[in-house]
Amino acid sequence: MPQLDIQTAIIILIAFSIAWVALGWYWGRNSKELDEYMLAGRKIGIALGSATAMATWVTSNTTMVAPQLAFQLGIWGMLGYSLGSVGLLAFAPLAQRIKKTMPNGYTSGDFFRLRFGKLAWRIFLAISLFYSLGWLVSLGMAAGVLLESLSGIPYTIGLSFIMAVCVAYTMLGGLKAVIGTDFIQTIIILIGVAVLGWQVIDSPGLENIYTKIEEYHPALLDLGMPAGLMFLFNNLFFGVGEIFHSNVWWSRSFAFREGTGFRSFLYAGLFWIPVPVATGFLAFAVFALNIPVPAADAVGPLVASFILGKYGAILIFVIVFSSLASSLDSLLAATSDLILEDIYHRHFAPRASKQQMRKMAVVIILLLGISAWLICLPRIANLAQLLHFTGALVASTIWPVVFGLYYPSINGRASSLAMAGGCISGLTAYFAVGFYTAALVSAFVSFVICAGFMIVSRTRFDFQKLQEESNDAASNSF
Amino acid sequence: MTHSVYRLFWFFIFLSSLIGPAHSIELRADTTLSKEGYFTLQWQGEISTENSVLQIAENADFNNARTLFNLSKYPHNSIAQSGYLNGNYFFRIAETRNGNTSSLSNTVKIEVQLHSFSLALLMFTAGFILFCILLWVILFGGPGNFKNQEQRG
Repeated sequence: MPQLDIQTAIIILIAFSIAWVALGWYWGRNSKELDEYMLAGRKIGIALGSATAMATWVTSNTTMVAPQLAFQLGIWGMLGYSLGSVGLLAFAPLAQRIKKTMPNGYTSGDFFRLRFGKLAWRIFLAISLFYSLGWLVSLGMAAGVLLESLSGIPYTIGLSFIMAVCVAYTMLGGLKAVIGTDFIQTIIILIGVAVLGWQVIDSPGLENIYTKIEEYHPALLDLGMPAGLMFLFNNLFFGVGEIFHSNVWWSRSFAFREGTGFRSFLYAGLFWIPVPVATGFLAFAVFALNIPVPAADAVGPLVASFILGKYGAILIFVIVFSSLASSLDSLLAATSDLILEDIYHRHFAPRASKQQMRKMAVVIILLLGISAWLICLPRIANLAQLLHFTGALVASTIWPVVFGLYYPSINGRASSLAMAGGCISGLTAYFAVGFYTAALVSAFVSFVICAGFMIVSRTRFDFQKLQEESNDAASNSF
Repeated sequence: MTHSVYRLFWFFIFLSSLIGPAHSIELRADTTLSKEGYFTLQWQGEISTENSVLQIAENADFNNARTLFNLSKYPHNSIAQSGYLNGNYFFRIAETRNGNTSSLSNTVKIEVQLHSFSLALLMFTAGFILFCILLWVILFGGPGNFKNQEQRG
């Protein structure tokens, strides 16, 4: 049953969409050069940097899956989800290192290609593109499903509308538009979540919530809950894997002004922590309010609209719309950069000029948006589970990235084997035990392989090679 | 011939006693064995009476049944449950009228058998150690580590 009338929802949707597209056009009107378009001129400061990192990491998952995990796995589910911030915090020093060693780099693919060679680079591309497309499709599907459940807007229309708006302003303004709109979306999300959190604590009362859970759902408060314990570090490594490998975050490291990357990611991580805690806490209120929950992923909007009525439904609608847009635009921009640089330029058009690349960037964003939209259209329900699946894949890249950035003794063979071994073992754990073990097992196996090779390796990589070759990223042949 | 028909008749009676009484609502769960303490109940069939409730009990005869929710105005046909400890749980949709309860659905049994604590502790410890190594590598690890970067300015 929709919690918001369709007319109000459409008015909100149109008003925000006009604002995003207009701002995208305004901020991107001077982005004629490739660096301006792809990396916002590499001049992003701390305020915008922190906001874009935080907003991108607040996805529809943060507002929808955090309450779901708190509902299913209790205290550990809520706290475990907030450990997603560790990815941002730990990436802060990496961002500084990336900017220093690759000041003219474009993508995370550039790093793998220059640091580890062709085989590891292609394994990485397969993992990263699979993950990116999976995330994009899950966001698109979430957009359609959530708008439909919150307001009654049909799935296809909601999905098409959000996709079209995000593709339009990302195409118009490139990374500048993405970062600018992210800043506004961050403010909306933070205010909205603060209001929601306050109301939830105030309405049923903490004591009432605790009593009801302890009486009828005691496992949720049990700090020894096995699945919750397993989930805790699994989610941490899933988040670390997502951030450490993905071009969404590497492109921001390249785009941030020298010396701002560390603090931007640090602040983003700190600001992000309370968001899943606040949204996750919504789930606990459901027991005190005695609201029947039709599906675990519906618990967040249900409680919000129950407590705040129509205004709660509007609030959650705006938060969801903002968090969806802030992640979709970043993903579109960063994935299209990866396809442009690592697939189009490095595989098919090695002699492409920067002007040709600039034009092709727009085409790729459009094609990527259309492809994701087409995959989302049939509304295959189990595609939403795709992200859990990718935990095993992305966690396998953590150690190749970290050791590759800091140690000269790891080579391409070690990182290729680590990624392959991590993926296989993580997926085995996914099916044998549960989704809450896949990333941890993958990261563990990948670490053992990397560390083993480094102990016996005589490789001494010269980090200057990253700098020299990446200077010509968009004009030389491979 | 009459004897065969007679036997067939009793055979069907026997079969129907095995199947149990027919219910207007078919209740089912997404799992019969939950390792995490959560599961979802779904049902098919119209809930038409105002006194329809979802009941939970710790045995199949519902002696100590407790009402979870009144379903009469509930617009969905599923309910997610979580936070259950090890044990067997029985669910049914029932109608309460004048203090009498009659079942509207079949009974669904769900066994909650949480993962072993030792496995969970092993995963937790492995995760914690791996996380400490990650932090150490980033902050103090190789020649390009964060500490050295800071010192070099």
